[in-house]
Amino acid sequence: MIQDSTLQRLRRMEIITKNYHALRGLQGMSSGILLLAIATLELGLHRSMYQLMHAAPIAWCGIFLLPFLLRRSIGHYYNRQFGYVQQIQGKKLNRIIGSLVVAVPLLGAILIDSHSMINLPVSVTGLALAWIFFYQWQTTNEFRHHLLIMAFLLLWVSLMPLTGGLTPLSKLLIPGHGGYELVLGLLGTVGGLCDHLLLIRAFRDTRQAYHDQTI
Amino acid sequence: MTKPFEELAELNKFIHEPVRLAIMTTLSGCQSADFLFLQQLLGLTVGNLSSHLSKLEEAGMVQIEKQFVGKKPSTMVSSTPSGREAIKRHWQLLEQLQKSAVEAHMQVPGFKGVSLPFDSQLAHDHT
Repeated sequence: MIQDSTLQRLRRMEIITKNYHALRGLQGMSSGILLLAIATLELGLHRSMYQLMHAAPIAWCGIFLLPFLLRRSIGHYYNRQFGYVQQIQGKKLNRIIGSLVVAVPLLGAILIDSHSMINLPVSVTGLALAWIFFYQWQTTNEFRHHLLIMAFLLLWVSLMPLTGGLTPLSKLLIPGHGGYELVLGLLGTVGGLCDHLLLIRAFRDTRQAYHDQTI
Repeated sequence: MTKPFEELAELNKFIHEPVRLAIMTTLSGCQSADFLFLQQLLGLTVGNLSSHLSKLEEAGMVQIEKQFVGKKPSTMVSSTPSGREAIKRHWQLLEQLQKSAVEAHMQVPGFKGVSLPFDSQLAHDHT
């Protein structure tokens, strides 16, 4: 008779396969590192990204090209090491709705936060980012718990000015002058690393289960 | 109420073989996967995986295609529509069987219950 733990392991295999592309975390880390590099430049030179791009446009092309190449080569590493999976293509309408759910709140929040006429006591961009992390956690079978932790952290930091504490920390989440890129870069890097570790652990566990003869 | 033994008899013995069940469950989570992915995830040897895939292909449950990804040859494996239907039905039966077994145990005096292992999201996907 098949055991409960065996059924759980089988289900986990399906979840891993479904979310394999999201778990190739080192690819996401390259974007996080790019954002951290931008943040360091912005904070070091006390300029916004817009000003820096105007100062040295060719250098910026190189900076954006590097993560792209890094992402491609890391993709090859995953294909060689863990194999390739073609995901189930959802309905086109569902994919469009999914993109809108992420993009619209973020763009709206950035507009609100950068509009000098509207001075809200909370970081709306931070709230939008918290929503995106929560949405990502929820749509990937609720097993990437680091996304949920990040969502709660962002929520806490964004609402902090309401309680009168840690206002400078929540100001980091307002676009411009490096803080925003620093937070996103950190989250992208840590999140990517967590995804990669999750993938390694999942593969190791299933192999172990086979060797233990529980599958 | 149907009895667990009756439901057990309904299970597809061909799919219920542990390695084949693992292969079909993995393939139900994607459009197609390459040989290396299945081998790495399931922790099988090349020979063992090939043998089970051949059996599944003969039964019309999977489709195997050899193609080039860049310059490298790759063997892509995907579930056929009948394979997808069979594994979906098999999981429904397994879940049903487990629920029936829990219900049967509940009638035993002193039984404190067991937790169901199924992920709610996936259970929803399969129904």
